[in-house]
Amino acid sequence: MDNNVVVVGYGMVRVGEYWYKDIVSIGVEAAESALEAAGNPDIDAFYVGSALSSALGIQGNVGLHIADEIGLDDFIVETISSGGVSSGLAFINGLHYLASRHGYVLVGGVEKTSDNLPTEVSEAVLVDLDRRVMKYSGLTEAGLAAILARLYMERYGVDRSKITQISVLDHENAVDNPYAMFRKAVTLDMALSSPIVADPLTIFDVSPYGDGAAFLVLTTKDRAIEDGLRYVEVAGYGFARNRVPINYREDILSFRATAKAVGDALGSAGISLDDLDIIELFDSYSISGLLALEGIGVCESGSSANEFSRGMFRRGMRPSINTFGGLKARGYPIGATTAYQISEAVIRLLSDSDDYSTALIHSMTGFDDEALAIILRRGGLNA
Amino acid sequence: MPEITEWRDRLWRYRLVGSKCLSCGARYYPPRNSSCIKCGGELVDVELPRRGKLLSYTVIYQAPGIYRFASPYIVGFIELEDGTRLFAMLTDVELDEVKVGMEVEATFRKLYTYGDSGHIVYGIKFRPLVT
Amino acid sequence: MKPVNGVGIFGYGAYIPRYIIENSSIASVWGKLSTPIKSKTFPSYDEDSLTIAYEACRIALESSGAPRDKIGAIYIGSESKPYAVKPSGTVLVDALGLSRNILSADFEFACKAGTEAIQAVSGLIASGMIEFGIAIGTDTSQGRPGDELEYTAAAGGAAFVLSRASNGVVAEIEASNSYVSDTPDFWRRSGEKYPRHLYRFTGEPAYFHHIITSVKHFFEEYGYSPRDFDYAIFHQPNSKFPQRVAKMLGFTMDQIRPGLLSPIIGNTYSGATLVGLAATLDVSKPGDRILLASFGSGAGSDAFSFVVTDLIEERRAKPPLKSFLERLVTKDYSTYVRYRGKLWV
Repeated sequence: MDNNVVVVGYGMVRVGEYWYKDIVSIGVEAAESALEAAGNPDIDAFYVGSALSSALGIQGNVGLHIADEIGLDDFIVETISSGGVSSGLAFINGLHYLASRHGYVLVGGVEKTSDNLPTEVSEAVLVDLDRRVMKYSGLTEAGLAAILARLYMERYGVDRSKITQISVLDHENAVDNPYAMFRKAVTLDMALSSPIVADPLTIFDVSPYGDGAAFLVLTTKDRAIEDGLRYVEVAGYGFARNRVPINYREDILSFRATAKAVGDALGSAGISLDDLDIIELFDSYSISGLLALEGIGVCESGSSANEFSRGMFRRGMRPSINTFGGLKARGYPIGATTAYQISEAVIRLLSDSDDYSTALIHSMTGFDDEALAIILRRGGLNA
Repeated sequence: MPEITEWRDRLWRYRLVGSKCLSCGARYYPPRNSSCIKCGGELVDVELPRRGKLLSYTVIYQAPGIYRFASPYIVGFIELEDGTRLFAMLTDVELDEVKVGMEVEATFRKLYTYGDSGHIVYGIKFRPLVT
Repeated sequence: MKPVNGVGIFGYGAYIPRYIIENSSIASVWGKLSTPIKSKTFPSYDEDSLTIAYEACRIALESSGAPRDKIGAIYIGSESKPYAVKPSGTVLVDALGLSRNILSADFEFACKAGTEAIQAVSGLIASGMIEFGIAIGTDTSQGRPGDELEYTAAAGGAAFVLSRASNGVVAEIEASNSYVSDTPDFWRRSGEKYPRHLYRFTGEPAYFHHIITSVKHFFEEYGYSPRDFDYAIFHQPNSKFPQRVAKMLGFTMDQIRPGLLSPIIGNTYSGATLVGLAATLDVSKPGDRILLASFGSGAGSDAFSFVVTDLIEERRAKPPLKSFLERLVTKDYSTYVRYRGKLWV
């Protein structure tokens, strides 16, 4: 990529249930902390992802309301509603803005799921998947994940217990993440003996929806250096789409949009898979994470569950996966998720103690319906 | 008024109507509006074979509101005799009877209703083959 | 009533739900010592009289190869319509892909609405107004928890594609008749969930009087006697009534056996005699003559005579009723009340 966009600040609230705060106030809290981290620059554009705030009747056009609260006038505000990649597309819009202009852009996402019944949230998610297929079949998103998991187990002869190891790793990695919804390690036995959501998947195979807001401040590399800010470089990105409804696909276990998006992202960054130190994987369900990792090409088809079971992908290994807990343990604030994934990678790449220099952020809607890949690279530390 | 959308969908939902590509023969369920994904060919509506086999399934324990009365229920991933793959609820089958690979056939059932006074939505479900 | 032009059954099909509940299971909840039948069917949570009618129709159409675009009438007899106002027939027309240029109506005459539908369709065919027509008897009948009816009120149905005899039929309708009188043995008022009945009054002055009068009149009018029939089917609200009425009219147990299903499946109301007829056709041979006498509370009885033809061998229902009997699964009272929607009363 040649437009040299960099991330110079991030801000998050802990994913969870905010009974005393509304969607705008958690958005404001995360946005202000991102701005503060970037030295409170003047903002030229503001892109906000939120998958469900309109659908759930919480607050439509939520970006406008956050912008007004943070007191910034006369700049572009856009609210983007594209499921799990909403805040990822907000980020991409920020890149596009900075491709032709200079200045600072605030991007991220906000979601509020605790003000509605869990069934209302899952039904709003279902509407984003194919309405006809889901509604008339009684299928839920978790049910679809379960069908994929059973097919995966049958086709590759994978033992049920191995599917959930990725969730156990997520919980292990979230223990020291102050922004994580669940900061408790779990054993595989605990995870497998938990209540079933959609057979064979238990609550530990299903990432929990949560309230959340995460924002990032972007600018150009020259500007960051000029203003003396620490930064992480955006090295590349890719976006691709798979067939919907999912049963139209030749093979529902093949995440080809993920493969394409990641391939394009690596290509635009001029690197290969072997260069990746960190992968932030969109594991909305354990099986989605496994299939995505196989789509990315880190594992052969049918082998990712075994790799997790062998103890791979822990922090310090190459690549390390979901170093702050992934969607399962950090939580799944739907439209804000990608902004959390990016922020977590930024933390790792800015850290002096971590030996990480390149990160892949993988984000999706549904089951590879849309896939977004972003490559971040350690940038100037003492500009 | 979801009843209107459901009414518009009724023929393909009642009769297992899919799209068939006139050029390459590809099948789609539910029917597509435009052209064939694989070859760009023209699509026509066709009644799909009513028999198939179960490729995968799940038992839903956390159901959407309109299906809560039915929980736990089974949703199958089914391949029809012509190769068309679709998702549909299974009925007339006990949880310990369902097996990947089992033969199933289409049947016509109530899917859900909008309360005691609301519209009844009918459609296709699948059951173990009765011969 | 003898059609001037030959009319008969072109194809047929019967359907019963998969679930049964044993009478002992109901009795254990309500503390009853003796019960009228062994078990009864009940609909799954996703079945109603319309989906049962659909299954029976589909079997009738597919087994016979009847031309769907030539069906000129579809009449559904039921006392458990899914809607009080909104016809079931229109859903069947679109679900089965029948021609939309079709007469369609829902018939209600307690348990004999289905045979009434056969007579109406026969008349349209015999007059030449239509060439093919469908008559259905289907019910998911109701019984108030703990009431006598809860032991027998069951679910099931059968469908008959009728046509001119000249098209080739599996059984010709020789003649039928009908006898009715104002008799308050059983009723359900508009808007009420469960029917009421007058206990033992449903027997002698209702069931027995109407069936016996109807059949005797039929015999006199057309010169039949019980010996002329290979099989007979009587309305079957329990195990005892059809056996006793058969005996009173001079029929043997062998004649009624193939069509006597109530001990296992219960009283399928509008479906009862028609499911019995379908089960009898499943085993009958060319040349067999079958008597059918329905009964509907309120009250009336229709009597019919059918003669089976050579075509029966190639157009038997596939699957036959036996296949549905073989897949029955017994459920307990709690599943039964849940599936029947009684928990939301």
